[in-house]
Amino acid sequence: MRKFSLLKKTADVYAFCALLLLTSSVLVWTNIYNKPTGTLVANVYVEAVKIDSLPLDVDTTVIYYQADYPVFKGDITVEITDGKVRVEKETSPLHYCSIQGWVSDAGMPIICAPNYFMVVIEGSL
Amino acid sequence: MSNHSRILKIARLGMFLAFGVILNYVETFIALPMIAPGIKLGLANTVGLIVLYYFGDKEYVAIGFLRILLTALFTGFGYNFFISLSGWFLSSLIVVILNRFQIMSIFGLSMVSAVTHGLGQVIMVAILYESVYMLNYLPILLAAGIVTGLIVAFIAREAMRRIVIPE
Repeated sequence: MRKFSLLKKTADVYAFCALLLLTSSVLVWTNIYNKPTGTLVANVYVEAVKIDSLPLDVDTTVIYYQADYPVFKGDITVEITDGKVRVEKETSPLHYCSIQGWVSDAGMPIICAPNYFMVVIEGSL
Repeated sequence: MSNHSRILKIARLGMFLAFGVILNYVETFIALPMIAPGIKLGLANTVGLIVLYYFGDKEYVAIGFLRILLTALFTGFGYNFFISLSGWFLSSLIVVILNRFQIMSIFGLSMVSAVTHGLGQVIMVAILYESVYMLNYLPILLAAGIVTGLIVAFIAREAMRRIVIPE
């Protein structure tokens, strides 16, 4: 059986550098070539199905009801203000997605895993 | 391999599998949502590295797959299952190939494993949500993977120095 070493090797340093290079390259690519076009919208997904598109240039508060989406653990309130979006209120054991707060960057998701709910900023068609 | 050795091996692998599932569950309480959503330490991968070291490639792949399967029994076979599965597939594939060449230590393997796990997951998310903008989240996950990979390697190495698995 092939057993790997428990002590650091030179190849680890090369791997570290290669991974840093990969991360930097992806960062540059996403910032230059993968920017959304058109009006920015906060797309709302439940179980990977898009249920709503909220324009970021319109301040609004939307409540998604558990009665409409039985997978929710309670109603979920999404708020948009000044081009930023947040999950204001939700029901989950640790409240990670409401703790996350405001998001204004495209691609940065707000994930409410126990509710199978996600909000992410994207470009409109 | 004698019947006794085979039974012993299955029992030990079962124990590691159970431990991996427990670590998977425990780390849902120590996620770091303030840094970025979805970022976890990947503590269960310490078990994967220990299995790879003491048992080999096939067992490493099998334990990883069964851990995802068992976790899904508790959390459901929704889209999260497919996201986990894609992360496991890509990272297992790369780690097994790299381990064959014996060029990296536990630190290199763990880093590559964590980064490719995140890469596989984000690619699956982009496919499931039909959105290329999901890939904008990659740099954060990749950078986090390098750091968490090193931490997990350190924890796994310290654990390996303390546990003895007799042949």
